[in-house]
Amino acid sequence: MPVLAGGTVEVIPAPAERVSSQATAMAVVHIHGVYPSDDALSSSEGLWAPLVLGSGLGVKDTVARQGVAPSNWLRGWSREAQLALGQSFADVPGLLIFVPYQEIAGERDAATWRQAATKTPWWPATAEELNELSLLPSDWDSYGSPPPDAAAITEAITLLWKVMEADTAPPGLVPLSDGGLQLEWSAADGSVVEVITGSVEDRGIFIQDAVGNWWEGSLDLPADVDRLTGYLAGETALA
Amino acid sequence: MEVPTGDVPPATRLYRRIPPRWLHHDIENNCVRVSSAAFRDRDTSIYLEDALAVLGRQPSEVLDDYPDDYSLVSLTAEEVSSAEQAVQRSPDIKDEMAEDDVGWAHGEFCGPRSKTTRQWLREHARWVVAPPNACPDAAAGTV
Repeated sequence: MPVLAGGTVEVIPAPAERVSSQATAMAVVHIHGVYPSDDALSSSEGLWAPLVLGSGLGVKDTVARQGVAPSNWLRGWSREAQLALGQSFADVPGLLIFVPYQEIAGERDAATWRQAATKTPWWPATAEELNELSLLPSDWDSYGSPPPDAAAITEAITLLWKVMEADTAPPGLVPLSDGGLQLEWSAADGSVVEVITGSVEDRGIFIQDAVGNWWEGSLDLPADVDRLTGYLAGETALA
Repeated sequence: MEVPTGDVPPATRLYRRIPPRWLHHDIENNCVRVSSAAFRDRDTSIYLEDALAVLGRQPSEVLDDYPDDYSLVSLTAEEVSSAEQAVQRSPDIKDEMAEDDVGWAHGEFCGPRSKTTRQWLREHARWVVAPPNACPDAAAGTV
């Protein structure tokens, strides 16, 4: 993971079946006045579309800030233009996330982009909810808890882009009392999948099936993350 | 009125306040259930049924000072103890507290909290004040 001044960027190779040929990777960038360098983006030959979480800015605001008409700003970005866009957000505290841009049919307004840009049905609603979570005030739960920390949100996004298929149900996103974040999936048969992200003691994967078998895994072990992916896709059972 | 002290009888209901962010939308069943996150803290804040009764307060009144989208669930002291949790009374005492303030009925249950324990607690929690569209398998709506 390239480390930038004051922030980090992770470039994640995306499986071909999940994205169009125009997008070969996505980046998750945590900025507080920083932006990924040209080197950090060099592994991507695709286009990028920005979404800013935790700033109160939506896609339309993003477009307005860039000063480019929606019909133009998605297409044909040079890397220089991408960097310029990032620099235009240099004073915005929060999470700047670049998601892969894909072919958009029809009108290319902000709403269309949001729906079609990723071809991942789970992403738009998930992004909206993550944005809401990142804006939670302290004591959001009346028990004096802090809002989810940026690391927990960034890790959740990174993980979701690894494990989600296009038809995977979006997770429930539950903030925890110590700044962590819990991702939850529950099925009609009573099985539960929970993933805890962030710098918290119980960070990890937990799966309990319909008959009470359970398994715990680590987010740091690729084999465990693969098992989570398989379980969410219905390809792997616990027993 | 004298609020109970000492050991908590096993049949006593323990009421846990649930902020809306701890509700998880079960997409497959199209209903809302409590997340295990509600039972993650090692010291879990609750209100005790017997103390509320002495104060003349209904369980739902522990939500009086909170927004309308808060919910309430209950477990019994016996259930919580069977999950290796210790139940204790710990009145939430503030300045100029009314005699019948629900804070007098405050308590906690404490203990090691594995992920399976949290799931067990979630599965055994019953709605007292249920959110709209609560999943029926959490005994929706009634004490």
